[in-house]
Amino acid sequence: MEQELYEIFYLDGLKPGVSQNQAINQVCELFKVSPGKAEKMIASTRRVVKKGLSKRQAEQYLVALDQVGMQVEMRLSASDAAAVSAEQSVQPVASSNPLPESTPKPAGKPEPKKEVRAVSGERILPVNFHGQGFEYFKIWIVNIFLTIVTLGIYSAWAKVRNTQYFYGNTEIDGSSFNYTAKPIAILKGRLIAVAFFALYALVYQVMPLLGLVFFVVLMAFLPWIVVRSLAFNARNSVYRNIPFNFVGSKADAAKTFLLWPILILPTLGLILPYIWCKQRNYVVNNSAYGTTQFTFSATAGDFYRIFFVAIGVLLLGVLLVVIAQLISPFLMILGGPVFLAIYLFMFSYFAAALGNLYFNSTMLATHGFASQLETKSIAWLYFSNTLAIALTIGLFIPWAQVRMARYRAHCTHIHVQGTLDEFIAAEQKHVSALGEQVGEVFDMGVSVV
Amino acid sequence: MTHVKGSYYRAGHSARIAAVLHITDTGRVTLTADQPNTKLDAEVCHFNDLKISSRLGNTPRYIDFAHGGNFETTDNDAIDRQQQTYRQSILYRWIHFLESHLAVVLLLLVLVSGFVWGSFKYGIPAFAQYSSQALPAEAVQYLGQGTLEILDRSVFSPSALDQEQRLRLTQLFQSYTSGYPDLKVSIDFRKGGNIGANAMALPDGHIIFTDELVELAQNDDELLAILGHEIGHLEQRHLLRRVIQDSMVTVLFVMISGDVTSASGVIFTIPALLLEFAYSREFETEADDFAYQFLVDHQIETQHFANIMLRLMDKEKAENHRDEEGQSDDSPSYFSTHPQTGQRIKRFIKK
Repeated sequence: MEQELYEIFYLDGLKPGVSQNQAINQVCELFKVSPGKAEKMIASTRRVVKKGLSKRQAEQYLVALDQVGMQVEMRLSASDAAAVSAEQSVQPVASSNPLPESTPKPAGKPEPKKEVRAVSGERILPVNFHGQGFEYFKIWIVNIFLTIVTLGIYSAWAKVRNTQYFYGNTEIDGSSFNYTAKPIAILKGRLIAVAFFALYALVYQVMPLLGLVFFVVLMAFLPWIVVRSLAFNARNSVYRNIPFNFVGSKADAAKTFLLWPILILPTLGLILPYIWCKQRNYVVNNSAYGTTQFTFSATAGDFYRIFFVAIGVLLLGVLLVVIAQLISPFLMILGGPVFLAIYLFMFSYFAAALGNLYFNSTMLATHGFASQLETKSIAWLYFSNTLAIALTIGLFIPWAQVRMARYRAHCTHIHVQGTLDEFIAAEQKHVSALGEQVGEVFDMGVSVV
Repeated sequence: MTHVKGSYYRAGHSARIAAVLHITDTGRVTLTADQPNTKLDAEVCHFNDLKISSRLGNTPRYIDFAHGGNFETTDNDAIDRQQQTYRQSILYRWIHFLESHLAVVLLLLVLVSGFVWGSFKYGIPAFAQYSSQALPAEAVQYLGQGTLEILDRSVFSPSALDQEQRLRLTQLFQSYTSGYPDLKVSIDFRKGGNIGANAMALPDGHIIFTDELVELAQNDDELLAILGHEIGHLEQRHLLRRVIQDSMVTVLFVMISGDVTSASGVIFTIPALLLEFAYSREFETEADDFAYQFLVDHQIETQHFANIMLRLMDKEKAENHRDEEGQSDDSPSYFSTHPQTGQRIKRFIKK
């Protein structure tokens, strides 16, 4: 640990509200250099200003430059970082803070994660989430109020504001995400979807057979809905002025979302992991950031492993409960809670393992993703959120969403090769919100990366 | 002159350029990069030509230039000040005012809670009652078609009462139901099996008595009291109203949460179930009201209703006692589809 070397990295220039002249004067005093040199130093951002420092020296530099008003960061020097980052990327959560989301931070604001420089050219960037439960609660309650007052019309604006709150607070490498969907487009989609759904419900109540015809018609539209929904979401998600994109074909959507699922019943569900793999492949491989394609490398085997572990846990749980009841009727009282706990565990395992598999198997050109969600943390989040929501008759919902988003961001890192500066936007086509809304009303949530 | 620090992205490129947005007092906007010799494609323009995303908490603002460049900044206050001078998006400024003032938020919280409570308690039932009366009787009867066949296959078995008794009771009941020709009532007897001593009314006009109930009754007047209760369900179109109310609850949950998918989630199923129970208890009370009037109109002692209800309760208690321990009569009524028997029979008992 003694020979670890650190460097000081100068980020985006001066902090807001710091005057250039004042900073130059202070740098002159601090480093005993000429005003000309100091000015140059302040002007050239995003570079290493001092390297080969011990940890203590680096910390002193950090404090001094911070007082001058320069935005600086302390990093491990390239050669040392390789080893440390490998270590870190295995289990950053467990090593630093076992239950980060459950213990309130004393300082109020969570400590920002620092990026780590790894082997030459690779940087491991954290995903930071800056949302606050109470801040979101205020936005959330206003959304509900205006939705009620406008008889539901405002719900489209509410959806954009809710989504933007989570996008805007998600930051990678100093830039945040922007949700650019137009509320009017969403409103139109919602009106059509609700009208269709109301008609479907009515027809189904009065004449179940005609309702079936409706259902078949809807199924025929499903590929179109899937494609539109993914495209609408992707093209309205912007990072660094570059929108995401989705270019999947309807024919492939029909295969992955209609044809394959036909086999679920005959195979007693055993084909499910294979279908999940197919669907994920379709979604990720057809997604792009600007003109750069995402690629997905997980195999059906990866999905089967998660599937069988979850099923195994569930069966083991059932067996335990049954055995306990046979041994003693007193243990019967425990059967319910124990089974609920096993169910929660299985559900959380699914969420964590699938979430990790999704990210860890996805690449954006040469850039990779790393996700380290933990089953026990997710289980605690689900459990405590549900309990708190129930006890507050729903008022805890905004905090619950923020906690979940913060934890997910905390567990996600991006392995950047070089910089994120070289992406180029694709030509934009306009996509209506109809597909997404129809999909949502009929409960067919499809998610992009 | 105002200076806003942030990041600039050229049209169609992801390279981040640390930059400062300068806004003169006349609203002219220029952009300079922190690093000298950095090429920016932004042209000089007026503040009013910029498209600025609305304020949302402390999330960054995105400022679109006409040619496609984008400036991202967290200096929300500086942008807000400029917007006040040059261009106001009244709507979003108003929304942000609501979102950022604690007193306003608390007031809205009270209003929303009041509205939600009021809609569940009064709004939805009133709407369901009004709209159920607006539908023709045929539509209501259509709703229940086929239900008896399903029940026959799953719950009931053929009645074991002797033919004579069934015929006598049917004729007796029909002399009372003939006063409601719209309901197209037909009387049926079945062996209840799992549901035991019970009676039910289906929307297509079937009123079914189980053998167990008939055997439990000590005289015909007690059965007539039950008949009155079931006619009440039909006359007041309770099943249709229940369908309408359940879908309204879903719609309201969706409207409130602004999220369609979560309406099926576990968080919403429990309150929805509790609401359904509450509505069901209200319908039972309404049907009891009807039964009371029915008995009074036909000059039958109302005490008979209380008698059979009490006997039903005793029977149920005895059966529950055999099954499991600790099920008491005063278990919380929130989880029950029927009001407590004690409350129900109060007014039927002779003073």
